[in-house]
Amino acid sequence: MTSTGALVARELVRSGHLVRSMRLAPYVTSVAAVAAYLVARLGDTRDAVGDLRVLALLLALGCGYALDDSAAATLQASPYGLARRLGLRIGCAAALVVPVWAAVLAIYLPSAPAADRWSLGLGLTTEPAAAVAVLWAVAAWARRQGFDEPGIITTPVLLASLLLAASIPRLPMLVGPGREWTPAHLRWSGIAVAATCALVAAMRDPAARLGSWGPIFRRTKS
Amino acid sequence: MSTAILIGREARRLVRHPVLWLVPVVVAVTASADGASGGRNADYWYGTIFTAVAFFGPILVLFAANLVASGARRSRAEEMLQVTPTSDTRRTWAMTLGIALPPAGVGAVAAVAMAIISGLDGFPAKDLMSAGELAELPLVLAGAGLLGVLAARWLPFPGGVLITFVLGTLGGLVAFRHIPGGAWWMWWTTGMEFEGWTPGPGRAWLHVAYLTGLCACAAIAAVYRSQSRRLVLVGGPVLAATLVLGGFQVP
Repeated sequence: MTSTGALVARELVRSGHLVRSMRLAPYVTSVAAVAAYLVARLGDTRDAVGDLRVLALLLALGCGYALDDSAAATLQASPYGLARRLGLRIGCAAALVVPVWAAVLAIYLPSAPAADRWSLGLGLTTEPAAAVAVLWAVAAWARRQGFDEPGIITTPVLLASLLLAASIPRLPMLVGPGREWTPAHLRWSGIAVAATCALVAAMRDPAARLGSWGPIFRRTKS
Repeated sequence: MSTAILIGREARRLVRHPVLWLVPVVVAVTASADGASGGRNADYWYGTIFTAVAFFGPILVLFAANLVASGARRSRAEEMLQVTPTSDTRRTWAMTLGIALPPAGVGAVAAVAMAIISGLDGFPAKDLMSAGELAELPLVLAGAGLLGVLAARWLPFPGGVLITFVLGTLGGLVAFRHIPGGAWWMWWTTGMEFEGWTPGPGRAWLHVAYLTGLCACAAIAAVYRSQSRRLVLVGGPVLAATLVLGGFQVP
C-alpha cells in the first residue's frame, strides 16, 4: 500500500469511521449466538468437531455483511480505490471475528488428543475460512453489479453451500477425524484459494478494466 | 388517530401480504403430493392442520411480519412519520398488536378445528393433543409475527430477518437439544415429537403462560427499542416472570 493509502487507512481506523461505517449488528448477533451456544453446551466438549462447525457457521453468518455499504454510490468517485475500501472492511471484519474463533478453539481443542490438536485446529479453521472467502467473493461480485448491500445474498449462499458440502457422497467435505480428514481439507483449501482469487478479481476497480485490457484487444482486432 | 384504527390498518397490511398467502398454497401442494398411505381420514387432516399451523405458518408469518414492519424503513418513509402527531411508541404498539392478533386468531381457529376433528369417531387416542397443547398454537403463530417485528426493529438492514430465521432454526435444532427439557424452553409447541426428538414431560398450560411471556417480551423489546430505560424497567420484570414460568413448566 502506498504511503498515502496507509495514511488514509490509519486515519479511518483512528477516527473510528471505519468501524462506524461497518454493519455491526450481524457481528454482535453472531457473537451473542456463539456465547449462548457455549453456555447451552455447559462445557460439554465431547463433540468438539460438531460444536466447532456450528460455531463456525454462526460466525460466518455475521461475516457475510462485511461488505455492505449504504454510502457505496457516494464513494465510487473517491480516489481511494475499491480494492482498498473493501480490503479495509475485510480486515476490520477479520479483526472482529478471528479473536472470537481463537477463543472458541482454545475452549474445545484441549479436550482433543494431543497428537490431533494441530490437525483438528487447522482443519476446522480452513472450513470457515473457505466459507467466508466464498461469501466475501459473492458479496464483492454483487457490489460490482451495483448491489450496495449484498449481505442479504450471503445468508442463502452460506446455507446452500452447506447443503452442497453435505450432499456429495463422492467428495465428502464434512468429515470427522480419520482417513478422509486430509483429502477433505485439501478440498476445503482449494475452495479457499479459488474464492480468494475470485474476491481479488472482484475488488479490481471497474474503471481500470479497459485501461489494462484495451491494448490487448486492439492488437487482436487489427 | 385512534390506536384501534392503527391496529386494524396494520392487521390488514399483514393479512393482505402476498408472502402470507403462500401458507395455503404450500399446504395445498404438500397435501396433494403426500401419498397419505393411511387414507385422508380424520387423523390425516388433524396432522395436516397441525403441520400448517406449527411448521409452515410460523416461517411465513415471520417473513411477512418483518416485511410489513420494515415497510416504512424500506420505502424511506420513517422521516416523514417522525413528524406526525402519533408517537413512534404508539405506532409500534399498534404494529405489534396488528401483526400478532391475526395469526393468533388463525391459530385459535385451527386449534378449535383440531379439537372438533379429534372428537370424531375412530380418531386414534395416541395422536390426541391436550387442551393445553392446542392452546399453544395461537401463541406460536403470534410469536412468529412478533419475532418478525423484533427483527425489523433491532436488525434494520436487508437480511436481518434471514439471520433471525437461521439463528432461530439452529437454536431449535441444535442448542436446545442439549438443555434438559429443552423443547419446553423453545418458542415451540410441545404437542408432538420433531425430528425424532420427544419433548418429555412438562406442564402444557404453564408452557402457554411461558409463550405468552415470550410474546410480551418480544413486543416490549420491539416497542422500546430506542428507550433503554423503559426497556429495562418494563421488560426486566416481564422477562423475569417469563423465566420463572419457564422454570415451573418443567417438573
